[in-house]
Amino acid sequence: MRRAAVALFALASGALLLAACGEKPQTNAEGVKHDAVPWTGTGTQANTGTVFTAPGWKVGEKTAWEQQIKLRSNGQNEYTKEN
Amino acid sequence: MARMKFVCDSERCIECNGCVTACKNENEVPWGVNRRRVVTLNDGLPGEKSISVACMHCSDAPCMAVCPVQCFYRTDEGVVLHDKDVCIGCGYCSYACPFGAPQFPSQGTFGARGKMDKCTFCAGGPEANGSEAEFEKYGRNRLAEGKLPACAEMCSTKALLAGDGDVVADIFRTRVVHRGTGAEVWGWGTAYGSQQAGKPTTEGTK
Amino acid sequence: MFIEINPKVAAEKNIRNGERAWVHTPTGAKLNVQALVTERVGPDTVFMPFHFSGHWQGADLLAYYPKGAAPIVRGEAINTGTTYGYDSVTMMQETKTTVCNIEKA
Repeated sequence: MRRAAVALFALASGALLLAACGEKPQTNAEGVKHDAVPWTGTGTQANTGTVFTAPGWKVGEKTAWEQQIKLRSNGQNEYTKEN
Repeated sequence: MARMKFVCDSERCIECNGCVTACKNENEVPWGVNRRRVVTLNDGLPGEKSISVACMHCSDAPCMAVCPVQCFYRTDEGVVLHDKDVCIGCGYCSYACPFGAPQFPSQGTFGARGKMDKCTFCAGGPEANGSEAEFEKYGRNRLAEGKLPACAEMCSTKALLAGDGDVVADIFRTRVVHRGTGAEVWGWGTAYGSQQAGKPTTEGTK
Repeated sequence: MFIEINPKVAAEKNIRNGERAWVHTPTGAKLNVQALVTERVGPDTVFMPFHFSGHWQGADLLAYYPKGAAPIVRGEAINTGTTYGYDSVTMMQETKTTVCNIEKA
């Protein structure tokens, strides 16, 4: 009875101690956050867009993207539309 | 380009929750997380005010300051994002945030929190822009498509403005200057053409 | 499915926020819904939305929703309760015209 209890205890503690072996490391591979800038677009190729990309700006260009965002932000101003 | 900001005009917000629905739908937000919420004070009483609240993308973000694993980062546009692969679900950011923006999905076993989820200004996360992985984890990346966050674009009364901080501040200033004070804030003079309450607008009507 | 009731009316009928209420309409419908006591509606009006449900002919439909996806506030849909007016093109109900009686469930 005692041997069975010891064996069970050894098994249980072994399982517990080995539990973390299957876990992936929790740090980003590069260590620092690497996020693509927005103006490179959403296409699978670099600097391309998809059908969902807003028309009217050249994907990949920073200034073009900034202009597009400014334009769209100004679209929220209905005082420019009313007479 | 100035920082990206949200502004919610409490005079115009009608508590339609269009922004909430737009965000939840566009980003397929997990159950239990409400990235954007509408807060209403004095519901039904005179002086009722509503405001739409999500992550404010603070310039000095408390969430970023308290995170024990440094999973937050700020893009050049001022958008505060985080890496779900690094997040350990401790919940410190949730405690630190005065707006309640970092939230945890309600599906964990034994009350485990899981990965933190919050408003991303529709700018996704560290994964490749527009990729499947990015959509699964962070929701749609609208900024990379040249669009603004879904909530602001969906706002029925343009109460919620988003975008370049300078532009948004300008729009809001124009609006405040134009609409005057008192009942004219709701457009009384514009609608009824009377000077009874507030100044009617002189914008080429009547 | 809920009904928005003015606090004055709710006090008269002894209905508290979150309790169930019966709504009787001229069509003969008897709808069991949850009460939301709020100042949003005046003392002579109640408000119920459409496209909200959760009960069918008195039975709670909780078992039919996917697990965890059921609405928290369930009640009989308004469809049987609205009065006879309707739009001839869309067949949608005439809203904000139905007379009803509320009582505590």
